[in-house]
Amino acid sequence: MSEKKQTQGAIAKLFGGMDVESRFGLMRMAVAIAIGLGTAVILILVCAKNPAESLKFFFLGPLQIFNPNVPKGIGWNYFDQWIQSMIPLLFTGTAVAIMFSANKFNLGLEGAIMCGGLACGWVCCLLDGDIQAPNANPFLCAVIGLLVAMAAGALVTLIPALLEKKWGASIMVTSLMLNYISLYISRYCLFSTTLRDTRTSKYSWQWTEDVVLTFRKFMGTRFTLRLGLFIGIAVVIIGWAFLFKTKWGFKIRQLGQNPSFAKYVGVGIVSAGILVQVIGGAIGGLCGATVILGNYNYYYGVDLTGYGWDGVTMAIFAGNNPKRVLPAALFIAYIRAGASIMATQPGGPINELTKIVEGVIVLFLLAEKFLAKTHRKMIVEEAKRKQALKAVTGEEVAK
Amino acid sequence: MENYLVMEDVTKIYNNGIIANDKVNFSARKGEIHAICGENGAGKTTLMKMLFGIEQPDEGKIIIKGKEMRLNSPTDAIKAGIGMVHQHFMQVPTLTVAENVTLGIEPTNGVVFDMEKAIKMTSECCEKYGFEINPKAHIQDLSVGVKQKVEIVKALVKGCEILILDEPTAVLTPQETKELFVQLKNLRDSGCTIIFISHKLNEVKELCDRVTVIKKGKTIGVWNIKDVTEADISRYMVGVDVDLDIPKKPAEPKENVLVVKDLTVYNEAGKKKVDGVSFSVRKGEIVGIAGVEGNGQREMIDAITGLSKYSYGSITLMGKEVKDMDIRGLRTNGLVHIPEDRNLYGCARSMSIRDNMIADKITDPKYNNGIFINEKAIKDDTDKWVDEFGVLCDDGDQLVGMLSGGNVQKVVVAREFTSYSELVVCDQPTRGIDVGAAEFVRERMVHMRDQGKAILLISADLAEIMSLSDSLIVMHGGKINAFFPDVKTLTEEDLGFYMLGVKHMSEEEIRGALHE
Repeated sequence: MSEKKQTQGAIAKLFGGMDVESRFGLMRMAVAIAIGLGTAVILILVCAKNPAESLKFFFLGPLQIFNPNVPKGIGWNYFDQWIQSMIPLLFTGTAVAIMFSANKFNLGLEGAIMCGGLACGWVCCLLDGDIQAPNANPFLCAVIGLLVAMAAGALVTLIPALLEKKWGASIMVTSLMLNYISLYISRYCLFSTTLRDTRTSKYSWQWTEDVVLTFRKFMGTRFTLRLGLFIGIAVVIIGWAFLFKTKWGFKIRQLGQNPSFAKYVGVGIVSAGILVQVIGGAIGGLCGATVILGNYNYYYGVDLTGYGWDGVTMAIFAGNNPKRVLPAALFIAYIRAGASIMATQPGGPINELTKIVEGVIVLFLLAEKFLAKTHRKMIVEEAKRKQALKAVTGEEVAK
Repeated sequence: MENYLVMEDVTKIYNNGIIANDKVNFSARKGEIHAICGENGAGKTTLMKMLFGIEQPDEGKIIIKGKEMRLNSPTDAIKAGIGMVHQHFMQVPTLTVAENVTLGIEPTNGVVFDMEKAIKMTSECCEKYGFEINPKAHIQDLSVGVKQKVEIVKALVKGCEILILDEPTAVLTPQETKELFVQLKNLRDSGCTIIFISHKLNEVKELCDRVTVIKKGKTIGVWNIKDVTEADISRYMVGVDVDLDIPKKPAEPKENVLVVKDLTVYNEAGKKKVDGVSFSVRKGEIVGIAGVEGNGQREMIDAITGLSKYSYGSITLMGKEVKDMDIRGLRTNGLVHIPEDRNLYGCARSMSIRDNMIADKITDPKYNNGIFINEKAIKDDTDKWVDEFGVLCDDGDQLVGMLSGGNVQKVVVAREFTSYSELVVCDQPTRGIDVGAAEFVRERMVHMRDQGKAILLISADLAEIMSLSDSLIVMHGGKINAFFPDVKTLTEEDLGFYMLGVKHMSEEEIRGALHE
């Protein structure tokens, strides 16, 4: 058997166990990503002063540690950019995937992240602020901060849920407005309360321990250890297990797939709907706190973070399955880090390029009629194949 | 004209991979009534949807008056002179007949809608074809029979020469059906071609000139109606003679399970739909509910099964008042329910067969340890049920949306009949599924009865309800119009009179429905 045939055999085996829909889903994803990256290549070729160099950093930037010509310190720094931008994606992707699984389009994640960060920052300032309070144990302080942040985040997404329950107000509209309310609350707290470090204009008091969740030059290596990554991965795993392995997750998916059916089999659809939004918000709050504790030793929140929107992108990439949030986060963070590294090189195009790539991919993933003809063809072929098999064996066959 | 309309080697495959039409051939002459017969799911409706431009064929040709047509939408079909009367009427209830009839071809006096002209168009068309309809009446005030006439006029007014009727008599009483047939024959004589889809063979024999039989998506053949008997057509349709005689012992009813007393339900528009209904269902009997659609059965069943709330009266299940119970509570007290609309309520199409079968039982300690679900127990039991209920599938992990209608219904029945139950509500349990699956579902219902369950059966299929029920309630205008403690002596014609409200029973007789 030739090598080519072997490969083909392996591919057939890989796809053999999949039904038409899964096969088509994978193919569609691959085509969408190819178009997105193709767009990036074209833009780089057009805009960059040194296209070859820019392309190299865009596609391989985060992996420069393997390039002997790049100083190790810089290589590790690029790698760290990848990890750093992946962390919030893990949280937000899982949070939105869980909420969307129940068909609850609560877009208040952005607000939950802001309020989570704010609550955590405030707790840390109170317990461990450099002027306000005596030094507490920084880890205990972080743990309390994370927990309070979860509660704050949950509160933000709970409000639209309750408004819908009580008065039938559209979750999407109220949650969107709450994002701005959260932003202004955050600004108010920073500018007009004792949270602000009186020596600065827009930062909170610092807490003594530098950056609690991040260890630069970990154990003497060049590697930066980010505990946020592990918290994020834990959130992904717990989120997946919750949605697919517990009885509550089962009910939530029923609700999302067909609310009439869920009601008819006896799911308390109102409470299940509220539950997912509270969970989503709690994860959002945790995300905000992790970002603050992982990158700063003070609170700074005068602008929307954009992480909430990333969650929607992630959920679309992952098809609302937290299991797929991890590869999706790896991918998105990789191209983001790549674009940002490319932009820092002399003559490199701006790093907003990555937004275009993401936008193009999301567009093609959401476009229902994209590749519809191919889809039809696959269905027709599969149906005919089954029919032919049936004619031979004389009975219904599996697969 | 022999080849007025030809559909040649037409194939249609749906997105779930089901081949609904496999190289189907069909042709109709000018000025004939042509029946298309086949079991539910044989592909009749799909074929007609392609002729009316709702679906597009994957292969094959549609030729009208010698010209090959590509019908991408109903608009194309209407332009080509095709009209269709759907099973579910496409009408705006709050508008008048004239407004509905001219919808899409609204006459204007320059700028605004011209009501006068619309009324004139409608009444001219009605006169021409002999329909007696008031163009100024509002649709919501009309009976089902008249609504259907409006639907036909709607097609005629657009100049339709080929009229498709998809099971037009399913919603009609025997008397309304007769009237419809007279008008259809008039239409034919004036040169219109009528395609009549039905699986009621006596009607086909009475009305049609030729018949095409379709079975499992394939054309079996075409015959002149005078050359074939009902039994012949039936054999072509299913291969074997249909036998609705379900073997069943006389019922041995015991104590009451469901007691409904003076139940009154207002709908969302504030209209009284159920008006002081009282009856009971006992252990070990099947109580049937017959009635023309829209006479309060829907609202009554929704109230009993907890899908909506009721206004006055009481419903007790196993001695407990259900008014403040949610569906979880009802199910805990022994209600199981095969819903009328299996795609809306009966299943989640994008979830697996397993998930669907276990949907109502997930809180059972057998299937979870308090937090996590017990996948092994679920797999073992659902595999068993797939076997027991004969669900045709690859395996239990297949999505329900990939199954045919009959198999989806088997999944629904498997879920409901394996849960704890005292009262089994079967709402149109065999609608739209093939004969084999229907027979299976009916047998299971009798089986459940013999196990001592109380069964409440609602069905528009008169043969089914008369052969399955031990006693029968007829509803008309939101009230019980008749109660038959024994169904054996009842004729179909007589039942029609009660359904239509031509005959009424005395209060005394109706009171028999409530066993106290």
